[in-house]
Amino acid sequence: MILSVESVVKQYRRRFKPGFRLEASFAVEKPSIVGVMGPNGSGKTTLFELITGSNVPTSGRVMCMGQEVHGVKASQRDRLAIHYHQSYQVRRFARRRPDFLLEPAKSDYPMVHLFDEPQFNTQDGYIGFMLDFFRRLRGEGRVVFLCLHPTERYHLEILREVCERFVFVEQGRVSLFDGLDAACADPRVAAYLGGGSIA
Amino acid sequence: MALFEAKRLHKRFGAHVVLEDVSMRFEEGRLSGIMGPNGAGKTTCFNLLTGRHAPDRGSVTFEGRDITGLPPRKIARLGISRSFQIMNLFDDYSVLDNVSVASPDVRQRGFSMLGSFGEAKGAAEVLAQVGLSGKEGIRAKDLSYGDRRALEIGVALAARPRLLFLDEPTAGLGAEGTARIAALIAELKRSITIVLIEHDMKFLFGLADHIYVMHWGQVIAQGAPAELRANPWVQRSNLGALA
Amino acid sequence: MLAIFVAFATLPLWIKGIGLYPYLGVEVMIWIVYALGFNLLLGYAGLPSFGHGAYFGIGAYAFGLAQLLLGAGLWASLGAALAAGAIAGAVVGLFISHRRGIYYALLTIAFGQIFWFVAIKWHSVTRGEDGLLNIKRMPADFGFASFEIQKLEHLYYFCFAIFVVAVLFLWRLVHSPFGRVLAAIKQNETRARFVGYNVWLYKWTAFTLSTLVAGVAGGLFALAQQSAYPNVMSLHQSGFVVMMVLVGGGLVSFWGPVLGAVLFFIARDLLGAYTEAWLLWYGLLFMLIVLFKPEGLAGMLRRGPVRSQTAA
Repeated sequence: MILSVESVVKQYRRRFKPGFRLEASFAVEKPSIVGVMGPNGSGKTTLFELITGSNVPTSGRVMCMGQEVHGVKASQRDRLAIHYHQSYQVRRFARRRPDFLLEPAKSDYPMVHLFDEPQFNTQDGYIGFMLDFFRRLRGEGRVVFLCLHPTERYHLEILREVCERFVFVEQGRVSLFDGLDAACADPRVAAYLGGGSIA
Repeated sequence: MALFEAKRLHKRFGAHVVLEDVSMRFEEGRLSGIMGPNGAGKTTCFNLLTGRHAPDRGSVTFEGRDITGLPPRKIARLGISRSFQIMNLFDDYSVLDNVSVASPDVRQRGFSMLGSFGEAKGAAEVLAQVGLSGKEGIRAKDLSYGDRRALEIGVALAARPRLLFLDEPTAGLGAEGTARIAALIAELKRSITIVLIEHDMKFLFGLADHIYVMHWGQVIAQGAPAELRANPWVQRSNLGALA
Repeated sequence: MLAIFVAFATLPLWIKGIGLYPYLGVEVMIWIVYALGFNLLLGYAGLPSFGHGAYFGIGAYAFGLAQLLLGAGLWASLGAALAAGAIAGAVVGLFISHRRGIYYALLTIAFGQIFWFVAIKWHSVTRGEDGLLNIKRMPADFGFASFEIQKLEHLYYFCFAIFVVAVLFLWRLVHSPFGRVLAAIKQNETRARFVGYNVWLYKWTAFTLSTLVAGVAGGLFALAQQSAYPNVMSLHQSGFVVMMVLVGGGLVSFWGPVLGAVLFFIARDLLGAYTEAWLLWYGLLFMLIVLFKPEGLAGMLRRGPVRSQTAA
């Protein structure tokens, strides 16, 4: 088991009233490349932050390589999961207890890589190198999340080419599918992709 | 055995990881290229390889000797030299003095109070190589931009390196200037092992024997130019159109 | 250089003619030596030391203490001044040579203040604010012959001899490979590192040599004044040497500090005759030069070739 998101709930509050709420419960047992889709504001980035430990869940826990992410020293959480936002890596960590009370990371190299909307450009040729990189990470036993909000036809091509599983996030609800076709069979996903008028 | 090898380098500045698990090998007599988008960590990588910063993890070896964490001057004395993307010249010194002060000949008498600094052995050849013969007396800051770029390489060459790191030697140059530098590097390649950071892909694909592609502070792809070009996505891009 | 040596060699003959006095010549020579040594650091190495008066003062105290406590002769006392300046500089240099720019300046001020404070408070050795008095002008013993330097004129030529040696030494130094490498480090420290120079060691050596010269100048000062007191170590006295070097144009010429020191004393004596606030006017001149002509007087006098070419 590489990653399991166990009944995680993140409840935001706005002026003492419940605001946005994200619920997630899924697991990734073996090395794989997971596509992440969903409309803007549906909670994709919040989900990534919860997995890397830069955001604290209201309840539930995130386990990575047998360690609870939020129980690991903030300075070492990037040894479990790292979050790349476009071209830069994001590493701000939230903690409830000081670092010295937390345990060290057991891994030297990050096992979960989350790519948040990398800038794909068909002109410069980097897409091919990036996709090969994702495959190499999976080959080295790691899990890759590739978050993409498809706005161009080739975005779907990319997802179809490298991702074996898909996470769909909509209005704070997270569902997991095996393969793009299975995902498209779901009416919500079909509506989301159709709404973008690219599929 | 590779002339120079970096294994699993990791570097963090504060909370920001700038290099993650970077490994590279530079074989003797070959020209290796490093390319990648802005912010990919190319220059940081050079800074680690040439001693400006010590890596947090990982090792660097030169001719089989561990040089991890050595300061720049010690690495330079082993025969590793570098140029800079943002030019780093001795601006108030003449072209000749720039090359002389960088030569081991002058460096070895650096603490001498006797004699004068003079012209270092081999300085004239270096200037001829980079096309600055006849401009010996001009102050570095009075040179044209193209000549300054050439002198930037000249200062690195003056140290008589076995391994030369060049950080974007064509930055800011037009087509003519780029062609001049390309001709110079093609010539140098015959006698020195070179590592080149370059933005201009046409330039790099034409010169390099082996290319590392960096992104997110990591090596995301590597191979000979032909291997990299074989990728179907690369074929679809502008890069595929390059001869 | 010859013109300067000739001017100072003949100074006792003509200085009264222009309404000044020979002792001024002694003072000016001492400060020229001090300023030239200081300029090795500021002008050639590009290292701003704003607490240099400390080493001048240490030289003066070392000269006085060697004579008063140990009964040392002239040469030994002067040697003590030289050694004390160099040792103090060598130790301080250990702490500051990895810095540059404003951090370097702040650290030199901090160390300068420490020495000044010690000079005032360590009463049993330094006699506090009064300083060491009754320092004698011992004869200059050359083994085969011994010269009295009690009289001002003799003292003048003794100082002139040291002045000539110091100027020749510093002239040689800045034109040697060492001086030229130092100037290269000033221009681009990073590049110097990457072509293999031990930048730290060069900066440390430059600082130590500069404090050594300051120590000698301080020793001569104690000899001339026949006393040593903490005032010369204070921050504003340290500022004088900075002003001399910058006003004179030490950044572009070896001789800049000479001009600066001469001008400083002329300003002190001529302006000082008219107004108590002469330092204010000199300070204003300093401000104007730094703002509008950072190369100083030497930079104004010289058109065309700059140091890098003339010195090559």
